[in-house]
Amino acid sequence: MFSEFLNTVSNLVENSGFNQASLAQYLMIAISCFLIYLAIVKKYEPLLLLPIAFGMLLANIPFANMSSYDEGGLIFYLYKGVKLGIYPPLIFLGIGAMTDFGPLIANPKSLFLGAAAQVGIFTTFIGASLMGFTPQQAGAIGIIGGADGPTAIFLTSKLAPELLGAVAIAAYSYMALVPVIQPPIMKFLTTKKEREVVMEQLRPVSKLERVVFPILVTLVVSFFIPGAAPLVGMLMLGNLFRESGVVERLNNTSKNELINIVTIFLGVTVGGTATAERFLDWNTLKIIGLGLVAFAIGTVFGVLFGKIMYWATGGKVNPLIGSAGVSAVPMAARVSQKVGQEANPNNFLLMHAMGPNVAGVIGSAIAAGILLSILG
Amino acid sequence: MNFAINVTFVGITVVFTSLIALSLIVFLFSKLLSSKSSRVKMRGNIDIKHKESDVKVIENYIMDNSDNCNVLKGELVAVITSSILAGMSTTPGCKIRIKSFKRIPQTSPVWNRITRKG
Repeated sequence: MFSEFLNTVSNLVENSGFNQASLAQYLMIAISCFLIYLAIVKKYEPLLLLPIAFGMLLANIPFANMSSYDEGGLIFYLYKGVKLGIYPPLIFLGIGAMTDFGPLIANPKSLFLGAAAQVGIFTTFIGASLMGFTPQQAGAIGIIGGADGPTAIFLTSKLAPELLGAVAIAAYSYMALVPVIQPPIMKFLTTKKEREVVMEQLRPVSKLERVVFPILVTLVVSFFIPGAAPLVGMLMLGNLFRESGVVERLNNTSKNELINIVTIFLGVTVGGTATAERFLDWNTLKIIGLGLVAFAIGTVFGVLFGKIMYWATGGKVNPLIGSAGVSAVPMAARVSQKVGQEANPNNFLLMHAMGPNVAGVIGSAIAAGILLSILG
Repeated sequence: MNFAINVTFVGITVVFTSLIALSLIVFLFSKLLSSKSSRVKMRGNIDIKHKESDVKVIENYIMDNSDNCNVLKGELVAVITSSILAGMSTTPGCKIRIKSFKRIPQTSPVWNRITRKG
């Protein structure tokens, strides 16, 4: 009787996670705990980093069947929304409902700065190709430079789903580090005189312009690059909900309940792809390094184009707003405001920087559409 | 490597082309919509006239003589003035003088308004 009891206990212990877990899985659990710390204590993009980190933790518990690849598990079925490209456009719907495109409509030249900041995506594509990644993987790594989480997840899930965990973690970590990465680059590339430039007041934007803008953007962008239609279309639908003023219930749902639910599903399932055998790879370190390069180059080109506009307009455009062309809304715009105020305490660049900032969202979606069309 | 350079060149060109085209279309459309005169119309039929000085004078129509009109107190004028300033996104140095207000009756049927509110 006693020996049977011991046998049963022994079988239980042998089949438990403690006995079956590999060192790599313990390491992944430690990394996920560190990411949870960054999300909660340091507040690094907690809305997505926390579910991603916890999804990573669940995925690395042995025999729990909680990774996105374990058939029949909860996360496996929720992951279908990522694989089929459903969640990122729905998140863009909520983002559109929360975004004010007024500064962009008032100053359409901001779109040039949004375009310039996307150069980081394509130059990193070259770098990733040189480092031995396939074109599809290089495209997924390059999109980190767009500083747009849903776009990065959307493109990576289509082009290189095996890199999804690493790309998502890199993208959201660097988005949180924008206030650390950008200011030194901005100060290096601009003079004090340029940073002190006070820009003219933006003109008021009428309701008709605000209502027509999302329709116009959807049509123009989707005709140019049909691959960008899911992201840009849903972004503009959300914005139309906001600006029309006649569907307040849909607007509220889009920017509250819907985006919250989808964020949870997206985060947990993306984290669920970061299993030990896929994540603990030299490629992950390369992705993290290339992601930083993509961010930095995007900032460089945004500021350089801002300087071109400064010269072209005879000193009316502050080059600092060019760095806001990376689509980390509104963090990048706040950084432009902060660096501008350090040079001139009476300077308020925030609304001017919001133009390129939201233009960057459109620009990164277009870049993703182009990469999908060419490499998909 | 050639492929990567080709993709980069094509990608950057298409991003710039599409966004430049979009900015031109938005610019032209805004020009089409905005009035050629210096008058800017806001909601509630309030007209703003720009003068050579920085003072913007907001005038509106003759007050409604309805019995339901309340007498406007100083605090109410201050609240409405600050709301208009916030809505116009003006700088703190911009001066606005509001001369009078008019209560505008609702033109939409009550059922339409209820539907919109959800």
